[in-house]
Amino acid sequence: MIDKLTGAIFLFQVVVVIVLGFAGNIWKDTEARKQWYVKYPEDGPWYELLVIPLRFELLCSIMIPISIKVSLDLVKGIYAKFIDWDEEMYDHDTRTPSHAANTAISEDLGQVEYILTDKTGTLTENKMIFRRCCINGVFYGNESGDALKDVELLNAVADNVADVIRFLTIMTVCNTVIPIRSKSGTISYKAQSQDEDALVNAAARLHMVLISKNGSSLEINLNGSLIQYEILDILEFTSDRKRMSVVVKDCQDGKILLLSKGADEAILPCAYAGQQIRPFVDAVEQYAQLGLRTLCLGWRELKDDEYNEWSYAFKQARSTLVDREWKLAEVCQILEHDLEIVGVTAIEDRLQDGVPETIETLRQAGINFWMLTGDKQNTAIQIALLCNFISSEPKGQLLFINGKTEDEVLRSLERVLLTMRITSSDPKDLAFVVDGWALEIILKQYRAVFTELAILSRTAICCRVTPSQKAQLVELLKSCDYRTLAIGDGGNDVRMIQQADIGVGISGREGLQAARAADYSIGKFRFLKRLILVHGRYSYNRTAFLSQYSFYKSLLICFIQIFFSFFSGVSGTSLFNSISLMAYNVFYTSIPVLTVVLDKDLSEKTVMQNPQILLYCQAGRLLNPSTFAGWFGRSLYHALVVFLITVHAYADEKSEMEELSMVALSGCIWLQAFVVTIEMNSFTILQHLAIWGNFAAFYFINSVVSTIPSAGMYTIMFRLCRQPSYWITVVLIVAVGMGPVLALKYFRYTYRSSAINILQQAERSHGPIFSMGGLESQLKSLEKDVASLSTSQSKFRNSVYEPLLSSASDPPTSTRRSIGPATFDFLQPAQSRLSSSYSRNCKDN
Amino acid sequence: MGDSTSPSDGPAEPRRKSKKPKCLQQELPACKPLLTPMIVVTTFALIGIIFIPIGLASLSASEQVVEIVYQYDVDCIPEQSQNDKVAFIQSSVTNKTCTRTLTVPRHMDGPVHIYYELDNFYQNHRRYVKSRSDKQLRSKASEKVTTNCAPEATTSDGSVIVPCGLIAWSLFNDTYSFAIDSKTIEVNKKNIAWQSDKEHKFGNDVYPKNFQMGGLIGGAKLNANIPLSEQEDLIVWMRTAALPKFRKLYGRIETDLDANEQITVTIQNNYNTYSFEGKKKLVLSTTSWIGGKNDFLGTAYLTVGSLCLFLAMAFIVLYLLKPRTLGDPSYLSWNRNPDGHY
Repeated sequence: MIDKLTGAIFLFQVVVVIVLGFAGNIWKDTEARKQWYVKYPEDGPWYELLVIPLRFELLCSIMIPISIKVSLDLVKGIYAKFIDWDEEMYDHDTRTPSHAANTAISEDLGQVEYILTDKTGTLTENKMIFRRCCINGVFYGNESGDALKDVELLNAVADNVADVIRFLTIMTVCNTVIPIRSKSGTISYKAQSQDEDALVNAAARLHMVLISKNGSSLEINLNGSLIQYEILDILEFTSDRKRMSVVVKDCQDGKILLLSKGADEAILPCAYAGQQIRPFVDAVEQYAQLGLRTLCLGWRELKDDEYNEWSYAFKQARSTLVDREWKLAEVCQILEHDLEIVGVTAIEDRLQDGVPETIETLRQAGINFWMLTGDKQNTAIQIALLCNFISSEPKGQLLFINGKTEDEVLRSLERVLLTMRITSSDPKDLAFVVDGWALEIILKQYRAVFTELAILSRTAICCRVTPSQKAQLVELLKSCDYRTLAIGDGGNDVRMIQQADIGVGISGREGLQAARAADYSIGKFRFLKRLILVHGRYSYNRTAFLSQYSFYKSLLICFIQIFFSFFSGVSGTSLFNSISLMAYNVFYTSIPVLTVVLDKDLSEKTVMQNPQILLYCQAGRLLNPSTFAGWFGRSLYHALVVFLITVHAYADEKSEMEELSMVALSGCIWLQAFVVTIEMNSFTILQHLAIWGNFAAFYFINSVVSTIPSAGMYTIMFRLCRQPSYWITVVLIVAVGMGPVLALKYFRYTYRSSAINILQQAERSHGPIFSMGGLESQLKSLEKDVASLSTSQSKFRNSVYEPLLSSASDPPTSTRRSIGPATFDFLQPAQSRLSSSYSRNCKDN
Repeated sequence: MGDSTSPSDGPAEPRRKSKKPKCLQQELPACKPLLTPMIVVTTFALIGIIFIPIGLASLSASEQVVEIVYQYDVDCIPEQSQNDKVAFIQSSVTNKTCTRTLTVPRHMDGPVHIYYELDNFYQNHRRYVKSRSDKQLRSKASEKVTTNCAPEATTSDGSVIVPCGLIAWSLFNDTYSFAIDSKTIEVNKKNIAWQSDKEHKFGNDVYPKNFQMGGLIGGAKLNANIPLSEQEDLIVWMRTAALPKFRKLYGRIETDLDANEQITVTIQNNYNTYSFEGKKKLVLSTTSWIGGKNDFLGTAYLTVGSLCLFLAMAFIVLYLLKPRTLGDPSYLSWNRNPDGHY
């Protein structure tokens, strides 16, 4: 934006130079030749024509402030340091501070429109913990939230209750975990899947310890007694089957058992005909609502001949060369039926602290979230539900794009797009889910359609995507001119992080790869909120002001020079001497405004409570052509004021060049100090020092220069300071220059207030202890008063007095809601509604 | 003015001990003024209340100044030369003396300043304003420094001109003398230039040399036996004016002038402003604390002051007609339209 404005100003400068150059030449030919004292030679060489335009070029060269580069770099460096220093973003667990590796893009943080986030390790802690289970309809761990501490379960294990033992056996046996016995005798487990690791560990805590696995034999220590199994076959997990099974032979009684575990939709249909699967369905539903990853466990005893017959088929399938996977799956299918479902496990991949709140806040701030994960669909959806990723409104709906072939994918894509388009409600409440396979096809073939979808959708979940696909998605969004932020923690996120406008790395369990590649590294996902809302927003606001102000002050002095040229025969005389001009640009007007790095329009708390305010930054409300036009106009007006007042007050016998130029310069200095003051939102001691100290510095420096006899402005400052008319003139310039600005600002502030103004007013007029809570209680008491009146009236008021922090979802005509609880409601009921709608969708697909 | 001074970030919950200074956490206590109607109205009212008296004072000061302005550029050309003023002024044989009578409108306290006023004369023209050598003016040692002085740097045979440059060359050369009832009034031409200029800008060892010797004679000649620091007319002239209309001090009449006195002015009308249609005026004026006669400041102060008072009233009226609770969250756009989008 600044570059564009610089370009515009450059064009303006060229136009001014050309126009004034022409005018100068014309004036020279018509008037200046008559002014004998100027002694223009009758005919000069041809390049004489260029002299005047070049002089104007010199005069106008200050129009594009060079100081802006320096100031901006300096200020941006400080923004980055603020991020580094921020103690609120210091991760005490890992003792890592946040770090801004890239100092140039802090203000872009405030304009983020899309956040693309990794899941595991970024949203979650990447630590799987067995939390609950349901064994034959009995729920364990529901009260305490931790089945391992559930006394009933421990008792059941001690009493050798058959179902429970069976359940634990499946947990222990049905996996590919390898136990490793260390020298000290403790056993640790090495697992490919974090879930299996969690299950085996949990079983071990419940006294069913997997001791060793040597080839096909497997030893378990249950309550001190040793049990041996022989593993006959492993029916491996695939993402299509969504389950795995193990065929083992109990070495005690020689029975052959099929032990299975898998996703509910993969296991429950395999239950034997008479079994009531209703309790398990309920359990799964209940756990899913809690965001737990569920697995169903089942088993069946195999007859010897059945097994032998199947085993033969299985071996054959394994050795086929064509379509082996498909054949294997088919063979496995043969065996996996008539299972007796034993129970459901629930594993938690804990969300990091504050993730749902962070996402909720940032979504309110108008930022769209895309989750890109290598994980499977259902887990991704569960996590998405859990962390407010998917809008919690009842109308929130998941749309699936899937399919194996191009045709299927295209049809699915178009259906989703159509739904998005025609949905009468805000289409952005919909989220689409796409998996890696479909995405591959889409990115290759149907990019345009997908782009349209991407623009329509606020939320997307992409599962099973590869790192390069992540990067491609970022690129796709960038190509639509969205400002993207990618956040991730692992090596597979590096490409996405580098591709995005802003890359944020979480220095987490998967190493520092992502953090090193990123522009910003933070310790926890929840710091993202502060990074964007506080640092990004402040940086944007400050940069917006600083850059526009830099143009303003350069234009101000430039306009005065231009006006003066009309009084000096359009000959390109500079009103100000070069020392003053230089000091004006690099000193008087640069120092005070640098304190803008400490300016806060709203307190951090208010911003956090009203994240919607970020929309101002995203929409570029504080730095766009129209705000810039305002500053442009202001500089034009101020230049007029300074010039006209100076010229009239210092007319006739006072119109001495040096004096007049110093009066005009003083006018500019005074005006700009007041402009900074009126535009600054908060004043710390540093701001006072810089603004008013700058005044003192101005008079001090000029007094010093005024004592040098060889300087052009020798004694000028002293002479001026002794003249009452000097002070009167300067005060007049300030009053005339700032009066309209103040009046206009006040009018806008009070009668056309922007959201920022309102929040400022709210924040400040309620005093230092102001908090939204206080406001809410006020509203509540107000509502009580109103409730005692007629109901219709209270309804009306309710529709007006929406709470400040509501998720703003329900239309005002819906059932009257109480302001207090609704705001703090943790969206539990809404979520269940959503999940049911999601499962309905699941079945449709 | 009722600014609420509040800590920048309400430290409600006890934070862990901050090792870093507050400045680095952006937590310096800050004063956050609010543009409340109270403050704004008070500000405007105050400006109005302060400005109006100042305006009145300035205006009355300007009113007290008695000024006689006499434009003589056309007047002092004889009837027969009116059609070709330039030829008249450039001729060396014409009699350019011109005698007129001025009436003192009001009593004028001495010293009465005598100014000449030129209009449409661009002392600020870039070619002109640069055409001087401060070094040369300051000391004899730098006599040869005539940078920027072209085309009046050297004579045709190459010897330097002191003082060089277009400004000095075009020195104003009309002269005035005054008499009341045929009794000459003395014009004090001492100390009409800035003391600092005489002491530090114009050397007392620098004497005019080769001045106005070229083919084209610009303005006044200088007495080659008087050092530049004593040539006060030159010093005054060389303080270039920033605007094309300007007045320069010619001298002072130290005595009072009574009302209705008839002053006879004898003008030597030498200076050529006719080629560029510039005006020449003779000004007699007293001064006040604010300077010469200039109504601008007073009028501007009165206007601004009354506008501010008017604005203050208007804001009060507006506030009474359309009261608005400051900081009412119901004005927030996302609380008005439930989508949170504009």
